[in-house]
Amino acid sequence: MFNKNKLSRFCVDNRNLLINIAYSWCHERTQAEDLVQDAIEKALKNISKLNDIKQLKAWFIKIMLNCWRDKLRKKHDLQNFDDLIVGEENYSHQNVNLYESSTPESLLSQQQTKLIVQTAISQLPVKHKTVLSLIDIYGVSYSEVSTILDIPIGTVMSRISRARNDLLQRLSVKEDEHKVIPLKK
Amino acid sequence: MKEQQYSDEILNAYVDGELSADDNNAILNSMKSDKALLRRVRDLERVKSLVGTSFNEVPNSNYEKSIKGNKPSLSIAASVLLLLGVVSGWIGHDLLNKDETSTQIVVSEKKDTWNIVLHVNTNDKYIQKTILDETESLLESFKDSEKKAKVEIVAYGQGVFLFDKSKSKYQDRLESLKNNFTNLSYAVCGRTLKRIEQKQDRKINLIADMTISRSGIYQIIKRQKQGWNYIRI
Repeated sequence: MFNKNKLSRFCVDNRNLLINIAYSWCHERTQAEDLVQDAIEKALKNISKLNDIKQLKAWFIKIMLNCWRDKLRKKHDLQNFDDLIVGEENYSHQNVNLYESSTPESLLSQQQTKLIVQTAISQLPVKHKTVLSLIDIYGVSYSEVSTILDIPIGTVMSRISRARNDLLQRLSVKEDEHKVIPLKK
Repeated sequence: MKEQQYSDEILNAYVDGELSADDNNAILNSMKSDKALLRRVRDLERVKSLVGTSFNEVPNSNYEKSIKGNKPSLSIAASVLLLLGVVSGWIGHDLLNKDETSTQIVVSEKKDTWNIVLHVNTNDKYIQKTILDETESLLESFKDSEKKAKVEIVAYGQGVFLFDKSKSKYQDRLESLKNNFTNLSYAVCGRTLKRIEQKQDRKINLIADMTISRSGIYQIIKRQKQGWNYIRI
């Protein structure tokens, strides 16, 4: 019962975050909500299997990830989905000057930038997208990603590196567009 | 040291705060003399930041429509209301009236509560003083008013030092303001804190009763999405 209460609290406190992560995977709002809902149901059913409540965060996201994998398998009828791309069919390459977006005003006013970044992420293979979302959106450590995905930390490092390199290329950040602010001593 | 000496994996680990203090310092030192390395690290940091901020909110139906070309469904509308309910509470009544793209300092007279977020990203004492003067002036103007107001100062970058007990030039004033106005809050960027602590190899003691947010920019955008008005001084 104690763990169940903790799980309920976790789901209420993190519902938005979880939906955002699910959205970064499937890029559909209703599907993202369904994914979180499915994960909550499964987690509640299996809460007795969670031995260490400190692992709740990683345990829950692993369940959510498995829910998504199940959905992908059904939809795409394949066994290895890691290289699958679940993105926009009509994706068109667009440039983003990352350094233009360095103030809160411009970040907010350029909603288009978000759309471009989201679209670029949608083009990444599943294995890169999941690592990217876990680290940059869910905010977990490499070690936790390693546990969640059952992969070595070295693989986490190479995947996050390739994911960001891929994004940099897709967003076409050119050297002459940089406005580098020197580190202050 | 040249950029080529650090693999992409190591530079990403640096950006993600996964390296030891020694390795961090080595990269920081290299960046001082290696512009290419500095640029590479900044690129990775910006990509990381963009990924985080690109999914920091649940898109509304129009937003979704612009991505997918789908018609907004009833379930989407219901979900928006449900999610708004989760994050509402004491700021909730402003949410439905919010113009999401507005950064104007325009507050509707019809609103009962004026929520205002200011930011400080510099250690310049004159700018910091101006921000505190404006904050005090705002709070004073609402003191005897029927309207309620909440003001939050968000610090990131060099602005974090305003709240650092060992560096702040205005610690007494900050504490005095906080004691006089219960509707005033302070938030500091967790990413900046971590970076400064690693760089200076010391623990920063913040003044009491502060919120440490995931990032300063995230906190400001979150407040704007919650219906707060953002003022840049």
